[in-house]
Amino acid sequence: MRIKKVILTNYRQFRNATIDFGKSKRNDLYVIIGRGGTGKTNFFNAINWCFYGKEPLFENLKKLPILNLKDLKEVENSTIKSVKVEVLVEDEEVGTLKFTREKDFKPYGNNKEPTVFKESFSLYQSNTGDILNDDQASLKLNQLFPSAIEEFFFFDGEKLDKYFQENKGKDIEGAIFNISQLNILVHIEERLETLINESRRELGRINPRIDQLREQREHMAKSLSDINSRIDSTVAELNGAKSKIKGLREELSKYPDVERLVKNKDEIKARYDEKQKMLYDKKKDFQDLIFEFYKSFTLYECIKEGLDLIEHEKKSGNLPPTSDKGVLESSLKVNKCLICGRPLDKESHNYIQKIISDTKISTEIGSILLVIEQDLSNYKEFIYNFSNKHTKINNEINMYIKDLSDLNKQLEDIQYALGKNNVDQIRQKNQVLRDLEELVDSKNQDLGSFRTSKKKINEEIQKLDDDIQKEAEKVSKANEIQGMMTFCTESYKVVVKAKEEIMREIKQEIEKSTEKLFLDMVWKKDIFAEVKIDDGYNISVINTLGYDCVGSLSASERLLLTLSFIIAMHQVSGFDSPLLIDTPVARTSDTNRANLGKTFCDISDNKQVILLLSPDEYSTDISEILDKVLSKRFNLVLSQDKHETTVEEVKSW
Amino acid sequence: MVNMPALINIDKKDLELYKSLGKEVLNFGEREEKEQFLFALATGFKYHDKSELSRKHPYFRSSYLLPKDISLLRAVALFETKDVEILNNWAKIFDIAEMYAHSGIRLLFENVKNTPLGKFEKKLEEELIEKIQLMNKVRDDEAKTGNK
Repeated sequence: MRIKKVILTNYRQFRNATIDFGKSKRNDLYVIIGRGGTGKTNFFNAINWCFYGKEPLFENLKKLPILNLKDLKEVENSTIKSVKVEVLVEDEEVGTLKFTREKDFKPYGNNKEPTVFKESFSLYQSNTGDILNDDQASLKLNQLFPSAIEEFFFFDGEKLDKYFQENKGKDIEGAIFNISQLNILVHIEERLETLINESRRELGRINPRIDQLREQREHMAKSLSDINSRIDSTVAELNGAKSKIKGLREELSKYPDVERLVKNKDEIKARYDEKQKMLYDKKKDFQDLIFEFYKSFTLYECIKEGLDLIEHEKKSGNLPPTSDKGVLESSLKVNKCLICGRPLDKESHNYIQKIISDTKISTEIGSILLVIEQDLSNYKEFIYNFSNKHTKINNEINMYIKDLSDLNKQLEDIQYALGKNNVDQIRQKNQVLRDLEELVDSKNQDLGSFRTSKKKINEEIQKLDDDIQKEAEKVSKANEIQGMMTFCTESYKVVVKAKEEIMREIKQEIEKSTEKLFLDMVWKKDIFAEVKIDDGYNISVINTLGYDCVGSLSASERLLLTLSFIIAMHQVSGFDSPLLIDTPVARTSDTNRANLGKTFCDISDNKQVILLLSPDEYSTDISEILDKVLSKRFNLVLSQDKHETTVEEVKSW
Repeated sequence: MVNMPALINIDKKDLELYKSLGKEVLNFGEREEKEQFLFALATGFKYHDKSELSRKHPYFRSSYLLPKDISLLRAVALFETKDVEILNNWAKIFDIAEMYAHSGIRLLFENVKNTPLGKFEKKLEEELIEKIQLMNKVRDDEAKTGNK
């Protein structure tokens, strides 16, 4: 299925524009280039409006009237004016189909807004010549371009970039469900459930005991439904938290392990401070040593001479003194021996005088000399030992300085590792990560408990079903109803199982196909190893080291992943639609634009691709690649009064 | 024996010098007055320079002197007078010490002033190391000669 032509009449700034997507080359690739405000997004919206009557890129925005502003003036002049968008699509099976949406406007009312007079939607089928209107046309459209999966063919580039960030597992599951068109199975499932319940009621009317059991069963079914809802919401919360955890882990993996580094830094800083204090104390010891040594060494001459004197006196026999000079002098003074009390005669007197003259050092002086001898010897010893002490303290100081230098180097290394990162912010993110991990633990516990409850309820329901069956068997009239109920119950189980099986198979196929497309198209081929879609439908890209790196993909890689996923969805579902992408490369760098250009070439080999770009986006990097294979290139040109855009096909480029 | 005088004096004019020598000289400013005085005394003795105090100013109590400090003061006085009797003469011992300290603190102040900021301590250390090495060498040489 491809878009053949788009005709716009009075739709916003397109007063009269036709874009013919006639395929002229092997690649079904088209580029529409327009500056801001020329109507790229409005062209995108026009197709959506034609198909579904809505303009997705204007949601939540205050918008101008859909009618062209020039025509709006004519409406004022009492003329009825129409906005019309015609989209022609073609397919080998159905031929050409023309979808037309038209809106007629009456003049202004009191509220000064143009009033819608009439709105219609129609489909013309060229191969049969049939025209289908409104609901019938919508039904046919829904078979070809289901509105539920519109997001898989009409894209805003911005949305593509954030696809896996905005779409959580549950949404992806929904997307797979939608595109796989499993609605019919759901309808069957719902219908069978209704039939089973009706059968039980019927049986209840025949046997009151059955009615009682049915009521109990319905009560249990309600409990089951409640617990299923709780399981669903818990799974959704879990997936949300896991997705955030994944994103945070990816983000934090770009940063150093701040927690560990800060802890190390604090420890090293404490050791550094302690070592610095030890160095300070040691330097003080060193100063004390020098101070003390200066004093002793400078007075060494006195110390040495004092000791030499004492030594000399000792050798001369004067030390210690043999007699007390003071006692002898006192004896002479009183003319009596102070030791024995005998009066001194002349001979004794002369003898004592001789001893006094021979005794050079008094007992007191002798005692002093003996006292200072010890102190002076200690000083001398200290002086002689100074070199050893000096060397020892110096070595210790040098050791502390070296330790400090090593610790400082470690601190610098840590600081370097921390770099210019905002440590507080990273720690905050780490905290959020831990909180989320705790939440996941807690939700997993809840989930376990809910699942246990669910198992019990299911057992109860099974038991009630068995009881109902036993009671039904007692009533012959009930046999027919019972037979139908058994059939419906079994069918119901088969449908539920089939739905789950199909979903699982489709998921696996999409996973496989996305991986193949992504790995084929990605330019850094040696980095990525596989693409995974887990049970929670969260998408992961595993690198060659085995880590999920979806959070660290570049904008262009993210876009590529989304494109791979969407094309995989198309392939797996057999849904063949064009891809229309508004501003596809706005967020990508020049080099990656070139890579994406090659990707669009690859895709357009067997799928129509229409790209809406600004002249800046369509830089040389991408245009050099796309221009070679483009089927057509169009420019959007805005009139001088900015009220009308014309579409010009570029004939040569 | 005459009692020890209760106080050790410095020249009143030297008080400012003692205060002015802060951390520059082996943390001089933080040390006890007794230690500062002995350091000044040693400096005076180093340059064999002593001078009379013009106006005595009590600097610290003599009771703060340890026996080993007293022994040192006695050794200086003994060296100065060559008379053992001085060992018993406190007034004379303290006089000699005070006179050396008086000259010493001035010489120390001048030396510090004439040395680039932050270099005095290192210079002093190098000087001491050089001298002790020389002394040790002489001792070793003497020991060798004596052994022979």
